[in-house]
Amino acid sequence: MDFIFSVLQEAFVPEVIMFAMLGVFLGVTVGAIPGLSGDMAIALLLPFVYKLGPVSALGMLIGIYKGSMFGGAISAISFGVPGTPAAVVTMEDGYPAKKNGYPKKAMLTALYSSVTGDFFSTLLLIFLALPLASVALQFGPVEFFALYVFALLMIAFLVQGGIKKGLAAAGIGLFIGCIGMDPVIGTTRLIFGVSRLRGGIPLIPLLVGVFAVSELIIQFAKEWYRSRLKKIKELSGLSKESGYDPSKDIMSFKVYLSTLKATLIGSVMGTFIGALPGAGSSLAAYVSYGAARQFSSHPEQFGKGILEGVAAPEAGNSATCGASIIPLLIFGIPGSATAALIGAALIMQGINPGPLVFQENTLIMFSFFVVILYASVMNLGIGYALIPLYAKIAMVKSRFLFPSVFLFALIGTYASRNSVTDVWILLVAGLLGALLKKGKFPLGPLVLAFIIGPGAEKALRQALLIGGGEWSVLLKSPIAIGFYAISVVSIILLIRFQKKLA
Amino acid sequence: MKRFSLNYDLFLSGFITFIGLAGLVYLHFEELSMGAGIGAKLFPQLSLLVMFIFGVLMVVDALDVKHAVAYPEINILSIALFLTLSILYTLFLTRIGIITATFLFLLISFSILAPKGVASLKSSIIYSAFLTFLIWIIFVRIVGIILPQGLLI
Amino acid sequence: MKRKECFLMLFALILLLVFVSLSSFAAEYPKEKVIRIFVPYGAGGGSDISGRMLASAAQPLIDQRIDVICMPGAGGQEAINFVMDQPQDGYAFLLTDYGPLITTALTEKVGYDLSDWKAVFQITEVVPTFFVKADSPIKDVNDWIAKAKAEPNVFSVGHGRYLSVPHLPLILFEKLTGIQNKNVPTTGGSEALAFVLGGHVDIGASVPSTIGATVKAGQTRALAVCSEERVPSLPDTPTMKELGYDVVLPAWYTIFAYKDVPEDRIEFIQNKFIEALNTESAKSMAKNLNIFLTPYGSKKSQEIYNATIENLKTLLSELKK
Repeated sequence: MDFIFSVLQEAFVPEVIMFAMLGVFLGVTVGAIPGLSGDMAIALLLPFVYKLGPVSALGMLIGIYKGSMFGGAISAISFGVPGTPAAVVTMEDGYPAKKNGYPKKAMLTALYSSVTGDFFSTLLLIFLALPLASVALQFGPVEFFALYVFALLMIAFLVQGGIKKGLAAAGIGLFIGCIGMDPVIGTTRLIFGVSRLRGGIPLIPLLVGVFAVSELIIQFAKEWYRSRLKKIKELSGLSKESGYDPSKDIMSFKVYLSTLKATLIGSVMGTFIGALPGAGSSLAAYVSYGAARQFSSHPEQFGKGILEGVAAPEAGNSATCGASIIPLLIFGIPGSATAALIGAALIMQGINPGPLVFQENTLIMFSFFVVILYASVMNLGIGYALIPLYAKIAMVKSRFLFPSVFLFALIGTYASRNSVTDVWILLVAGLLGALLKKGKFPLGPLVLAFIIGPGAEKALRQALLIGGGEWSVLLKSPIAIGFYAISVVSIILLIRFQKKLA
Repeated sequence: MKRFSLNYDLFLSGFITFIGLAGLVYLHFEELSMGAGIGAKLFPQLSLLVMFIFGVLMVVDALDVKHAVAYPEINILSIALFLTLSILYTLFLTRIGIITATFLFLLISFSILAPKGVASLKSSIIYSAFLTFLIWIIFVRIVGIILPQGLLI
Repeated sequence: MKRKECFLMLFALILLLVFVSLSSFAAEYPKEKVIRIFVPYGAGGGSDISGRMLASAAQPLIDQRIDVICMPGAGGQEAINFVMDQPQDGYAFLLTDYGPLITTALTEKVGYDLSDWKAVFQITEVVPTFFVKADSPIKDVNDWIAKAKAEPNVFSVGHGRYLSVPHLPLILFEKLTGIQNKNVPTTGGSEALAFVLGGHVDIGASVPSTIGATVKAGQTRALAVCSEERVPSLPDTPTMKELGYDVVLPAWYTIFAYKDVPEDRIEFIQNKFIEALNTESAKSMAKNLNIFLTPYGSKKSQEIYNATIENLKTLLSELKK
């Protein structure tokens, strides 16, 4: 009893509360700005972690993680530009939702599902850490490859412009992912002599370029087209869609309940994938979306603005917050890049993530759990308060909005890794995205294939190495067979479904 | 195939097919390590193959005029214009400093999109100044980014 | 009214500009500007953490900010090139292990000579360590060799990236003993650890800071370390040398300056670094991080640097055969 009391004392110190709130606020803000991400904010703040007490420091960093997972949805929904990689999927239905006249519903759905997913995985973190971590350890190269194949096939579900375009886009994404050092041996390939590309194409510039910059280029082009036609009316094209009817855009508990199934699917998927070392929040978002669509009663509405399509990925990406900390704390193996950064912060506070972390730092760890829990609540409150503020930015006259957001994205990309090469990649990716968008290509598959490709290749080659070159090694694991089975079933269902539409 | 027109869809899908094929040919002759199992060629080849196959399928679609889909109002010229502006910005960023470059970029892009008149010029200038200031605060003071030459002005 | 706004904004801008320029009016080294240490790896990695530890210990001593900046681009070459491009005034340093700096230079074309870099200060020694899951049938190194000789290519060893700090000693060991294992590259120590714990590979090669906690908890067993002497955080683990195999290939995290940085500034900063790491707070921080402090000044670091270059040259040319 005494112990519980001291834990609560530690956790509710004003300083801790303040830093946790600051963290969430920073996270939402940074998440909402395309080009900046939560990871970047955490990395930038690592030096200051020394100056704070351990619980405050951790509270702040976790707050940033949570906030940024939701923040990305704000710009994804408001102007079709994902604020963070994890929000890419949210945009698929979030932006159409806004165009169809219910941005507020969409954003609040995103907020509530984010918080639900986050809370879910945090509770799991606290109560089921050990069993969950041991399941994660069962995933070796063979299992990972099966997971990646499953995810790549999910791409087929995300396709809007027709399967052909979707798969071609995936092919392009896979190809771009192959540029640079190969994931196993490190031989450089496909760089055509440009040594700056040795490390491959970095994710954030590609992502921000393909989605955000391409959108901005296109909007610029559309604006110009209109202004040249000497249209006097200020056509914003984005924010002031004619006929915005606030009465049709009210969020209610009933609406939340209607998307609850999708939210829960996302929470489970996100927790599971978040706990796997190396999988990340983007993958969690994609898989959640695909799974929710699979189990939805209105799968044909996905991509057109259905709220389930916003709830699932948001729950999924936020669920990785708690989940990716699980293997970090238990084994010292971070479940995502962000968890790795938090691991570094823990280490700097003298706390060694790993099996002994609870024995050595009992009070701090339990206080930390309490803080993580209430940070979720703060996320809810602060997110709610910030939505109207940040969404208003979308109301600014578009001729000022696009170039400014573009510059934010450009400079933000530069700041993320201190690299001018990144900026060039950003621009090329933007051009690519714009050209593909003009041709009505779906960009989601491209990005997913890019993200997953290297991981899949590595897993495949590692598996073959362990199996001594025998391809049969891929079927030697029940988990892997399970994934392949689900994939086959899903393809069959998809083909049947397509026939139904024809 | 009754009529076909050189439309954008044809161009785009043709281009993708071409890259797929060219890449496959290139890789065929390229020496890449075969170590560690299946070697470093497989994945790139696989991706190029996918691009080629579906590229061809899309070309077939595009030849059939009924399928023309691309957005007409996205003008290639304006894309080029905006991109040129961005490239110039990136090039000059390290030479004339972040404040000047940002201000000029914003001013030019706001003006291009603006309706004619002095009033809009004034608002362009004011917004450019304000946003440049905002960017400076966030990125230089708070984030503390490093510019290659250490130039600020 | 619009005009007033314009003027106000301009005025504010000018004030800020004046403020900015004034604040860089200071005295002499090292107070003229911020000292920056560049790391060719992503944030959160071993070199990053050692750098931050050093920075926080040294900042109060020199009364100047020291920033650790991660530039993982182009496999680490971006950070190296960036430091090369900086003015050679002792405010920009490179902190790295031998991978991006030496191994890359020996296997590919790069824009510098290895002799262009001056070692300023070595923070720590990073010792490649072989380990297995606690319940593994492999009892010790000799057991490993015996079993591997009886049935070659059965054991799989997860070692970080190809030709990385844990990988090279593995190759050396295999050459010396003639055994064959399946070498499985991984993205780093963490993944190797995960695979060993999950039973996907039989043996792992990593560094003490990654596996230390699991060894203490009894989940893994360290078979041997590849250094001259035993590692303090793994006191029960023999060195390869003790067991009779000359596999000594420790890595280091060392701070480098590029060629034209003035000698007196290097002297000054290395003294401060040595002092910083000898403080009680630094020592306790290091102990918590399982970092084995080796505060070597420029002379000793340079010797170790040169020795490593020679070792690697030999090893890599052996590999090519």
